[in-house]
Amino acid sequence: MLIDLSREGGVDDPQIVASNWIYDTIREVGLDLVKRIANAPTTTFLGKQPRLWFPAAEAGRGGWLRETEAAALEADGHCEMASTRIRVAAATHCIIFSAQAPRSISTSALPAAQMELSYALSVLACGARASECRNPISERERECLRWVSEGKTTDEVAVILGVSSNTVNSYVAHAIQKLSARNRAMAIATAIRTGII
Amino acid sequence: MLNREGNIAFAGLAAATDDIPQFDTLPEMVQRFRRICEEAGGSEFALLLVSPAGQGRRMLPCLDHAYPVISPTTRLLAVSLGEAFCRRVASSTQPCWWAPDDECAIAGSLARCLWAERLAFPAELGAALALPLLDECGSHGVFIVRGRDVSLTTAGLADLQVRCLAIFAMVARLRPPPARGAARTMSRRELECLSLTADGQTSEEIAARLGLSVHTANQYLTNSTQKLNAVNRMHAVAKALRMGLID
Repeated sequence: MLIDLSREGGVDDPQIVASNWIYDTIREVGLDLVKRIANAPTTTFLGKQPRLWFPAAEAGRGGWLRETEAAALEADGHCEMASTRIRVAAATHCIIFSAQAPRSISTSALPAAQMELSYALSVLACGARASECRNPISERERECLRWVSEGKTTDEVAVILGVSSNTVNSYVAHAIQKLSARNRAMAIATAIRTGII
Repeated sequence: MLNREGNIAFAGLAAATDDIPQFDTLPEMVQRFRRICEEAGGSEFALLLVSPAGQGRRMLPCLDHAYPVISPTTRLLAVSLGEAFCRRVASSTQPCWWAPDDECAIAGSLARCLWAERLAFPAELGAALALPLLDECGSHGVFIVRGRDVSLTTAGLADLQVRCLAIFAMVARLRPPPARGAARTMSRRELECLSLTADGQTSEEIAARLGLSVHTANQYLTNSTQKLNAVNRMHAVAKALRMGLID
């Protein structure tokens, strides 16, 4: 299962991107469990040695996984699990591999497979940006945003760029609109997260 | 933290942690990178880091085949790789490569690799493969293998890059994170308010979301701004993002 750990308005809002789990399992365990798996201590970050974990054993440790959830997972054929967080640009994903029996998942083959997954996610992210780039930020708008992100006031930016304050405000307003942001702070955050500045 | 020559200075050895293979020393890491370079068929290698903040992004040499010094070719490369390259490396994990002509082995093999992207660079930069690297804390870097004879399959490429990621996680850990001072003093509430501001929430909305008064929310934001040595809230948000305090 591949999950997009996105945040909407500051709140965690995980989305399942792709999965071959049967629907009943997903419905039974819920997105909350999916989020907990993504943040569990057994979930590693891409590049670190992947860890195999077993629902029954994790639930027995009395931590983030409940007995009932472990039972549901195992009943539906998820006995051996390996989960990894992958970050690409502004988005963090979690990939969960599971097998029906122990000693099925190859930890030596996992890292390279996860790396290729991150390539695919990179392409997706670039594609998403490219379609947003029907309306790309202009160079001047980007410059304005960068100076504002360094704490300069509108007047200071106007002096730096050699234009009027009205022009600076106009550049910033266009940038806010193109980035689908609510205000300057969000526009700056979005621009930094997507690598525009 | 940069020393006088403009290289990344290492504060010392980090404490051993959970599941990262235990490299004891920087020379050992250099050895591992050297081995990876040889397996790829390269003649030289370099690890560059993307500078975390400031006006525009730069590439900073971290270590290379000439360890413990940095070779002039690496320095030239770091300076020549412009801001667009920094952005590319920070926003995508796809390997990229460049070659002055199509006759060399690198052009032949990497053109066949599913994910590798060819870049157009001036001929003086020679032929090289660049593997973008990142760690969980938001540090970005790139491992570059230089040489006309670099040759890899798609699977080999992915395997090499993920091994570089493992080493990079250790390298990034050895560097003293500049944010440590600010991060230690930022409270959970302050980070929450800052994070919500970055998502476009106003003070009233933040207050309602967190169950605080507007005055308290504003106070948290003012504290954050001061602790981060920022001029205003937008500056504080930008600094926090670049330092990896919020994401």
